Amino acid sequence: MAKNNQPLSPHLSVYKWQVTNTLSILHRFSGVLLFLAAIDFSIWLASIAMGENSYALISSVFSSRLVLAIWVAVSFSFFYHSLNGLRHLVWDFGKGFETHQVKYSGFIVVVLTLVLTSCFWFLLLTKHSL
Amino acid sequence: MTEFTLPKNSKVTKGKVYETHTDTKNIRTFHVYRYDPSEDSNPRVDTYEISLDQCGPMVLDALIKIKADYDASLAFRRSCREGICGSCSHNINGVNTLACTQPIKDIKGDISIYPLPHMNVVKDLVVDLTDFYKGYASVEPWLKTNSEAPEGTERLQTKEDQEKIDKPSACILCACCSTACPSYWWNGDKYLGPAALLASYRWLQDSRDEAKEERLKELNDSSKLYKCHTIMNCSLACPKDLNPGQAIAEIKKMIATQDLND
Repeated sequence: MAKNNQPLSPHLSVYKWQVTNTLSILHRFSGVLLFLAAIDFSIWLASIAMGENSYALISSVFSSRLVLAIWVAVSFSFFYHSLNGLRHLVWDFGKGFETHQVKYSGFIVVVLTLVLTSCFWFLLLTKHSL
Repeated sequence: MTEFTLPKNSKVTKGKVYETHTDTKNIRTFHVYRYDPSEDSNPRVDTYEISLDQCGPMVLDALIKIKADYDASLAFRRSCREGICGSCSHNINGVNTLACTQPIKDIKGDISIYPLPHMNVVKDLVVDLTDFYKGYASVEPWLKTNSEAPEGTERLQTKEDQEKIDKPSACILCACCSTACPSYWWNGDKYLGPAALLASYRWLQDSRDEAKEERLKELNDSSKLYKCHTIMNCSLACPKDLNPGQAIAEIKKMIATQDLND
C-alpha cells in the first residue's frame, strides 16, 4: 500500500510508562552495565598480574568517590538483573502471568534489589575501611 | 528499526482550541490528534472543551460529540460501541484501549486521544492496519486437518477442550496489545506481535487442529516469535482481559518441549 508520506503515530512520547516496560528496560540497561563492569573487572585483574605498581594505581582509581558511585550502580544492576532473571525463569515455565502477578513479582524484585544493595554496601563500608 | 524519535513529517504541532459555549461547570478538556492528508502539514493536537452534561459516558461518546458539534472532519473508526468489534481502539491518556468501553469519569483531568502508537496514520485517529492484518493472516488462523471428515457430523471436541480455546478465541483484533509492545514498535516488520501470536496459540490449542507441528515450525524463528522479550505491556493493555503474553510463553514452551525434526 502506498504510504503517501503518512506520518508515524507517536509512541514512546505518548505511551504511559507501565510497570512492565519500565522493569523490562531496566533489565536491559542493568545487563549492559554489567557487561561494562566485567571489562573493568578484567582491567583490575590484569593490573594484579602486572605487578604491585599497576595494582596500586588501578585500585586508587577504582576506589575514588566518583567510581565508587558507579560500583553502587553496578551492584544494584547485579542484584536486579539476577532477581529479575529468576522472574523470567518462572515465566519460562509458564507461571506468574496474571497481570496482578506480573506487577506483584516486579514489585518484589525491586524491593529485594534495594534491600540487597543496601545490605551489601552497609557490610562493605562498616566491615572494611575503603 | 529502533528509532526513539518521530520522523520530521510526524512531529506533532499545537492545533486549534474549540471552547464550549454552555454555562455548565461540568466541562472536560479533550486533546485529540489530528492529521489531514490533503494538507501539506504535520499532525497537530486540537483541544475541545466538552460539557459532560450533554455527552454520553464513554470516551467514544466524546469523539462522536466532537464530530457532530465541533468539527465534522474528524476521522475515527467505530462501530458496535460495546467492545466487541474492536474498531475504536486508541491510545487514551497514554494507554491503548477501546474508546467505547473507557468511561470518561474513570480518567482524572484532561483526556488525550492519540492513534494507536507507532503506526502509519491515514487520517486523524485512523491508522493503517495492513501490516497488522498481514501478520494475523500469516499464522493461517483456520482449522487445518489431514484426516477424513467424519460422516454426517462436525468434528467434535469435549467441553474441556473447548474451554482451552474460549479465551484466545475472544480476541477482537483491536490491535491494542501489539501497538502497546515496544518490541512490535521496533521490529513490526519481522516480529508477528502479541495479537497474531495469540491467534496462532488459539489454533495450536485446538484439539481438532492437525497442523500443530507445521505451525510450530513456522513460528520457530528468531524474529517472528522470539522478538517477544516478555515485556508484558500487551496483557496489561488488552481491553478483553486476555493474556497474549502468556500465550506467547506457552508457544515457546511447546517449541522447547517438542522434538522438531527438520
